[in-house]
Amino acid sequence: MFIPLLWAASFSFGQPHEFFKLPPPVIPSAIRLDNYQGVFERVDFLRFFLNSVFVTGCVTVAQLITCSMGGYAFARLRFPGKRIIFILFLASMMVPQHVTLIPVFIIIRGMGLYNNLGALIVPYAASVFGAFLLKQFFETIPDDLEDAAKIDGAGFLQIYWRVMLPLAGPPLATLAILTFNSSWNNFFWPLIFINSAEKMTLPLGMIYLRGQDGVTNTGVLMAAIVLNLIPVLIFFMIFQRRLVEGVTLSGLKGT
Amino acid sequence: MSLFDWDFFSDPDYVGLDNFIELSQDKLFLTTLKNTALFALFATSGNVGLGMFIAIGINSIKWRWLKAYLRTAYFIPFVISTVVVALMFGFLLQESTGVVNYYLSRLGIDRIPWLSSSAWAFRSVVLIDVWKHVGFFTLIFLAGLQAIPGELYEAALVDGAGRRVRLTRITIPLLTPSLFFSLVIALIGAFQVFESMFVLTNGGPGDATRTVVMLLYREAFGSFNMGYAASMAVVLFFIILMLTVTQVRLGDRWVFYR
Repeated sequence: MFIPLLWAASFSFGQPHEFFKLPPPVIPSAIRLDNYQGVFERVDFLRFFLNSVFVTGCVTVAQLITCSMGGYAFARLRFPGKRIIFILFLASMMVPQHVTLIPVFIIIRGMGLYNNLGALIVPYAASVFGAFLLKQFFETIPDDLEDAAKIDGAGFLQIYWRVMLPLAGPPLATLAILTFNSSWNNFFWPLIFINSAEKMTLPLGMIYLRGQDGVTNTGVLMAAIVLNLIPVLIFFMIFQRRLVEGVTLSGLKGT
Repeated sequence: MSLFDWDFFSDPDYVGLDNFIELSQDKLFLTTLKNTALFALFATSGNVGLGMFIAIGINSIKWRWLKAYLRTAYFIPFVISTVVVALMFGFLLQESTGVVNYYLSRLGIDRIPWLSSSAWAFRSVVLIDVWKHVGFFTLIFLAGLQAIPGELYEAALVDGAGRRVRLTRITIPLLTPSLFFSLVIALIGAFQVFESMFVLTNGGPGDATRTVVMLLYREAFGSFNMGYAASMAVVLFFIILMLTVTQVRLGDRWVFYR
């Protein structure tokens, strides 16, 4: 499983003429950082990176807030039409994103967010999956806790903020990590909404870099790939357990 | 919107079902539909089948560290962005200078036109998809395996059941909920493929790896046939919906719930 990754890493240090040498050197003749320099010279890689960080950060924070509120409302509050709204909610989870693409495109354009990082944030500010995940969690919290808070005179906003949220650490962490990962790797949306280089996020930036000099400069492309992999792998190392938990949790929910 | 003819700039014209009639005669659309369906078939069976196989293998390993290591190793590609994966393989699979072909030729296998022949490009895309996603399904099956109570195996041992009987009579039946879930998820995902083909082959050679979503993207944002693209989206949605409903219906017959 690791071999392709290692190969890419090895090539990123190599010199241009080595790519066509057969047999391909497993370890490059000398460790050179030219390719890495090349990445930063050709495109504003740092800008792509910061854009990605910004978009992903906003999406993650927004989802934590909206999903926990939505989940709490569906789990605990009583309001008219709750069941029907919830079923509609779940049904919308089945609709693939490409199907809603054109209507969403028109809405976003109407909001004046075309070629704006906001276009990558607003459609992802809430998610049905997240609300569902947290609803399931909130339902496991005993009623007594909430009753106690009510006797102490807490309104539902206070219950949400003081009682529910502090208890919801683990599912919120799971949601944050899953959201972070999918937002970081999102390619389709930026492809459609972003058309100037200074607004690009990393995945789109990679394609842009390839377009700049194509196959002729493989080393630079490989170096960019490695630069792209490093944050993801660090992220993976830190959150591996939560990530695995999140995937299995979402998996078991479906059965 | 699928009932309108609209180029995005002028006012939309109502055209009734014309878009759908045009679609049913559009050879390119039918080709992409066929490609997508075949891709879904192979990628789903590859991902789910291999995922189950690997999970059962990992689960039977005694050393804990090796188990954890393998689980991580298979899962890592899942967190990497598809674009990066596709760019990387695009390089490794080059026909004359690619590393993969070099080592194959050392083994006495002729160079394979991974990305330049229609048949191989399609297989490559499926292979890469499996490389990327199989870890996810492995994880789901591992979770399913852990939920099987050990007493069942002990009871089977007392009854003198061999390895094969334990596998086919206990493990696999009790994994059917995971299997069902995986099939549903994998199929829905596979019908929406776009990124790996877009980056790796851009639909080519010819239209061998063009999928419905790629055609939709081109129609909507290349030629600005918004109405026509929307009608493709509607067709795609109904196909996915029907497949999912069918799976759920059939699922009741073969999935074993405790």
